[in-house]
Amino acid sequence: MYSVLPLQASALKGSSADQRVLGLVRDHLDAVVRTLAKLGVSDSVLDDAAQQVFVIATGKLAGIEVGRERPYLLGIALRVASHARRTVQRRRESPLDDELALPEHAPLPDQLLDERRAHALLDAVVAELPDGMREAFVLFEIEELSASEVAELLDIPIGTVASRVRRAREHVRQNLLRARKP
Amino acid sequence: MSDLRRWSEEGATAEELSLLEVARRRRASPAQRAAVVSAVGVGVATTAAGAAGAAGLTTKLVGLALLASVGAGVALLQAGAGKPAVAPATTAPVVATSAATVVAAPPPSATPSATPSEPVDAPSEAEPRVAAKAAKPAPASSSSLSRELQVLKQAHDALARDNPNGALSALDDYHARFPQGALGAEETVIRVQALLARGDRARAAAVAHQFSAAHPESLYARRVERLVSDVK
Repeated sequence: MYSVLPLQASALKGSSADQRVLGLVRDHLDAVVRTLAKLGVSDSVLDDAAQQVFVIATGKLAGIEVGRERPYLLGIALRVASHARRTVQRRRESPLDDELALPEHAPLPDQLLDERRAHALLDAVVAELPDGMREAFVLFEIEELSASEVAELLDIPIGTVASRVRRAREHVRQNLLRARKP
Repeated sequence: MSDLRRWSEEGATAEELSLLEVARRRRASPAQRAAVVSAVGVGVATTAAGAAGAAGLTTKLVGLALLASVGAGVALLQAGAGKPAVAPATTAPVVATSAATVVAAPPPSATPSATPSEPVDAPSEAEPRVAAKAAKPAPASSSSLSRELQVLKQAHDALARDNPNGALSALDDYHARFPQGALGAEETVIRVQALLARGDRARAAAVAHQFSAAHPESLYARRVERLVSDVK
C-alpha cells in the first residue's frame, strides 16, 4: 500500500503527476544511486546528484515514456555524473590508491563475504576503465539494460556497445588479477 | 558484433559474477530516499509497511517535510525580490509544479526518447528545492530526532507567525540542546530566514557565510548564500 504524508495537510492532494514522480523514486532510486556511484560520483556529493537526477526528471515528466523510465533516469544520471566528475576533483592519479579501495596487494575477500570490500574492489576496478567503456559496462553488466538501450543512451552503434563491454570485461579481469597479485 | 550477451553467458568467472551481484545489491539509504522525495517537492512517500526499513525514518520524513516547507519559504523569499517576508507554511504549498519551476521543462517530445538532452552544466537550474542535510553527523536515534524536530518545528511555526524573535529563541534552544544535532543544516536555513525576517541582514550573511565555508558542497550553502544576496 502506498501513501503520501502531506507536507501541509491541505497542500497535497497526491496528483497523478505526484504519484508518478513518487513511483519513479520508489522504483528507480537504487539504480540511480548505484550508477552515479559506479560512474565516479563521490559520496560527498552523491546525495545531491541523486536529487538532481529526479528533479530534472520531474521537470520532464511528460516526455518520459511509460515503461522506459529506468533507461531515461539512467541517461540523466550519466550526465549528472559527468558534471559531478568535472566539478569535483575526486579521481586520483590511480584509483587503486583510493582509501576505499583495497591495498594493492590485498587478497580478494574469501568468498566475497565482505560486501564492503567487494564494493570497494569493484568501484576501484570500474573507476580504472576508460571513459566510454565504464558507462557501457555499468549500464549493461550492473544495471542490466539491453544493448540497444545502452546504445541509445550513449548514442553509439550497438556494435560499439558490444565491443566496449567486451573490452571493459577484459580490463576488469586484468585489474582484478592485478589487485590480487602478491 | 551485436549479439552481446551477459557476461554470465560469455565466460565470466564465479568471482567476477559474485562481484557483479554485490554491486547490484547496493541500495539507496532511507535518508537518500527521503531526501530525494523531499527534493522533488511532491510529498513524502512511504509504504504502510515502512519499506524504507528504518525505525526512525518516519520521524526523519516528518523532518524533511518540515524542511520542504522551509524550502518553499526560501523560494518565495527569492521570488519576493527584496521583500524579506517569510512565507508561512500554510501559504507554501509544496507540489510537483513547484519543482517544475526549478527545472525548466521542455515541451514533451512527440516521440519520447530515452536520451535526455538536458544540460547539467548549470546546477543552479536544476537545484533541488530541498537538499539533504549538508553535514552527516552520526546517526541519531529516533527519539533524539523527534526531539530535535520538535524544537525546529517551534522555530518554524514562530517564523510562520511572523515572529522571528520567537524563532531565533527556539533555534538558540536547539543549538544549546543539540550542539551535534542531525538537523544542524536545517537549523541554519531557518536561522538565516529568521534573521532576514527580523531585518538583520548582516548577521544573516555572517551565518550563511560561515555555513557555506564549512559545507561548500552543500546545496543548502548555495541556498542560504542566495537568500542573503537577494535581500539587500
